Parts: sequence; C-alpha cells; structure tokens
Amino acid sequence: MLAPDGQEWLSRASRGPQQVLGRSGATQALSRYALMYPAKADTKDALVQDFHSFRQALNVASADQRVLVLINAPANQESKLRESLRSVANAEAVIGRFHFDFEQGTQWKSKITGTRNEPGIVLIHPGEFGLKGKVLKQLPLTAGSEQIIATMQQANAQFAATTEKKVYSQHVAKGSREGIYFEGAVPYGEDRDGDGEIDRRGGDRGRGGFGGRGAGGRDAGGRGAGPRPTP
Amino acid sequence: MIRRFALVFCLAALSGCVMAQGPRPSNLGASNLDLGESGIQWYTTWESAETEAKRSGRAIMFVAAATQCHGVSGVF
Repeated sequence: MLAPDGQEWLSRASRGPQQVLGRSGATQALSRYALMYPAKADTKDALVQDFHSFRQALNVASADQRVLVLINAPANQESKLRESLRSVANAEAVIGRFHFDFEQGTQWKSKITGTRNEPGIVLIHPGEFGLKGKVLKQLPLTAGSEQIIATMQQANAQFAATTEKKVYSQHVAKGSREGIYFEGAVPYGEDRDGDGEIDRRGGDRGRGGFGGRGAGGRDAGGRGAGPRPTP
Repeated sequence: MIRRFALVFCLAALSGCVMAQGPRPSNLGASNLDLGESGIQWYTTWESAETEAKRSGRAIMFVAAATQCHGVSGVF
C-alpha cells in the first residue's frame, strides 16, 4: 500500500493479501486506508485506464474475461478523448466491467477480425488466450456518452452470454497442451535473492526455479530457455 | 470500495505466478465473479495510477504479477 504521492509506503510488500493487509481481513484494512486518504476529487472524473500496448491489453482482457474497449484515434484527437471518456469509463454501468486501451495507427488490426478502415471506439471480444480477438461493436469517435454506454452494455451482455467462464487450472493445462505461448516483457522465473537476475536452479535450465515445481522445475525441463513459437 | 483507491496492477516484476501460501495457477478454479459483472477497475500502467492517485488523493494498492503462467496467456 502506497500513499497518494506514490512514494510513501503504508505497508510492507509481500505476496499474499494477509501478509500485507493483516489477518483481520482485507476489506477492513482497505477501509482504514480509505479513511486515511479520503478522495479529494470527484471519482467520476477519474482517469481512463490505459495499457502499455494493445498486445498486453488483449491478454489482460482475456484473462479477466472482459470486453476490451479500444480507442483508436489519430494523435491529434486522443487527448480530447481521454478527457471526454472519463464520464463513460466511470459510469456505474461501466466501471469494473471493461478494460480500456488507447492505440493509434492500425497495427492492432492484425490480431483482430471484423475491423473497419476508419478509426473509432472498438469493442473487442478477446480470444481465449488473449492472442487474438474479434470486433463486437464499433462506434465513431464522435459518438455521445449515452450512446457509448448503451453500446458497451449491449456488448457486455453479448459477451457474457456467449463466453464460457474460465477455470484457470484447465485453461493453463489446455494452453500447455496446445503449445500456446506468450512472450512477456519480463523474463520467466524469479529474482528471489534480489541480485537483478532471474534465479537459476541447477544451472541454466529453463526459465527459473520455484523450488522444484512450476516454470523452473518439471515444466521447464523440456522447454529450454528460449521462447516457443506462437501457434 | 473500488472507487476508494487508485488501484494499479503492474504487469511486471514477479514472474512465474507462484504465490506464497496461495494456490498455483494449476490449482486455480474459476473466478467468483460472473461474466459481465463489475470487478476492480485497475490502472494498468504506473504512470496513470500515480497521476490518478495524486489527482484524487486516494491511496494506491500496488499489485505486481506476471501476465501469464508457464507462457500460457490469458491467465492473469
């Protein structure tokens, strides 16, 4: 937990909610932090979410099983849209149900079916593994807030009605069987000793160790350190 | 609760998806949340979370995790 300045630590960092927020309950602990730092600005004007890349946005939307809202606008219109879409992204019917990403250009279209030529607000159904997707709806950049929210609600309902809920263990197993591979920005493995390098177990065998299981253990044996091709 | 914090889910740092005292991805079931229902509205870049925290004065819950497990995407 960090103070609003992003610098002051309010808690220690650890891996489990209980270790950070205490055993009395995460909700109680979060409520205490909320009382310490009450909102001083209207939360309905909160910034719209964004990702570092469309590739990452698609992956996370798939993981969270949410519709991805892509704002594909020319550079000279993007900042204005970041402002005007605040009321949309923070609307009660929208917040917490979607992911948002701003992208310029057309590179994102290579992973998505059903795209159009013109820029717009594109509602995307992410694929099972977040490597591809399809367009559910597209709106012009000039669409009004009410129209956008209504269309997003329709897309969300359509998505929920036509998508199978993931059981993550089965998802991982299926992905492994099918050779699904996502090259992340961060190397596989862990730096538990804090030396800035991914820990290796028993020499350089795979993507790092977790004490005999996981990516550095059983599964890493046959994979080696290099990436596998994405099917 | 979701509006009280500037929540950031940093897709970096810890890789491998192992949580101490928690289940491994190979043991995870389904989310408790039904599809289409409202969950946490994360900020997915540090810059946006920090900007929003400063704007709103709300605390930051910083979560770092891997984007995938065993190279399989669409997990976290």
